[in-house]
Amino acid sequence: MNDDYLWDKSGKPDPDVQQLEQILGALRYHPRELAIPPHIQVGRKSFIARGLAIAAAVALMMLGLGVWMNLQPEKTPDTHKAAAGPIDEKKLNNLTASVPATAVPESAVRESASTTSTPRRSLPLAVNRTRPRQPRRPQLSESEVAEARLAKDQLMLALRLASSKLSLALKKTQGNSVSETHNQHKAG
Amino acid sequence: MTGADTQMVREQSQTVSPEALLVRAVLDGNRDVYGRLYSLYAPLVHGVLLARMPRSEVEDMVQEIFLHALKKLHTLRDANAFGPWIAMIARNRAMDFHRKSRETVEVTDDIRGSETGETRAAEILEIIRTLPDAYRETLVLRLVEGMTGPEIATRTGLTSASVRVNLHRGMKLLREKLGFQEGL
Repeated sequence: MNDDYLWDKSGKPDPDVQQLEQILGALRYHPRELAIPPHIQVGRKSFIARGLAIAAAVALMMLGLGVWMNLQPEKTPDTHKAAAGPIDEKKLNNLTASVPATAVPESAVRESASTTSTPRRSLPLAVNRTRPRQPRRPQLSESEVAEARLAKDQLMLALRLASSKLSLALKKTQGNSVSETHNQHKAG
Repeated sequence: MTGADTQMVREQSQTVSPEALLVRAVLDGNRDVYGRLYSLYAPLVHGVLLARMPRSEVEDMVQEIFLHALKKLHTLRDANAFGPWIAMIARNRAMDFHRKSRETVEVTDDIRGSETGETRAAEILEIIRTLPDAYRETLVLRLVEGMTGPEIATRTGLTSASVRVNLHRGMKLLREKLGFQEGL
């Protein structure tokens, strides 16, 4: 059966289709005016909503980034430098101030400097378990540090000399007491 | 598909229909233009609803759907697809109506009364509603709203081949069912 009429109303009309069109046409849509309430807004809301969504997304990303950065473990600080470094410098300064530089001969100082050129590592006085907010940094320049090390070596040399002098004096006093007893024995 | 075919399809998809221009004008704030879209597509929405809902509910529902579509017009991604979009809204609304009314009353048109043309039309419409979804919507748009097959394809977004098949098979089923009816 040719259904061109059913398809696009062309060709030979189909009587059944024509009759159905005639009957069902009574139910066809009757144009009515569309009353649009004035409060209905078109399109504008979407820009606001889109802007808010983008702003919220950016804020969330920033928040997440901040949390992530805070949770990242910091590099473990060098305990020798952080804890012992500045304290040693201060001690050295105090000690060198108490010992006169003229007390040590220059040759001894040079010898000492050549033998103890590598800085001695000192144990940390206290390990700071709580993470400092700002890592401590040495406040002295390289030349100052070198000067402090030299002063430290001078101090150590002076202490060593003083110690040897004391031990010599002790030996002398002990020797005198022994000879005195011998002499007493001899005399007696 | 050759390169020329691809280019042709691309050009076709990029062409802007008059309806799309109307949609853009409405989105730009020209609300009066929406009246033209309404007059163009109201028969489509009316037919989609009539294939699924009682006539007494259809008129008000058409208005309600167009107002709802106006509010949601900014969500329409392709302005060329206004017809398929609003047809889908109408189908969804009809389903919602049935879901809500299933528990309360049985939804049927009152086909009793005087033997006027409208009563006979309501009887035939009831028969059409017993057909599968694809057939009844296409038949209502063709026989009630008076749209041609190509118009139905353009407005609903279906392919011409699908509409032609639906019309042919739906009409065949309708003839069979109407064969039991006396006095058609």
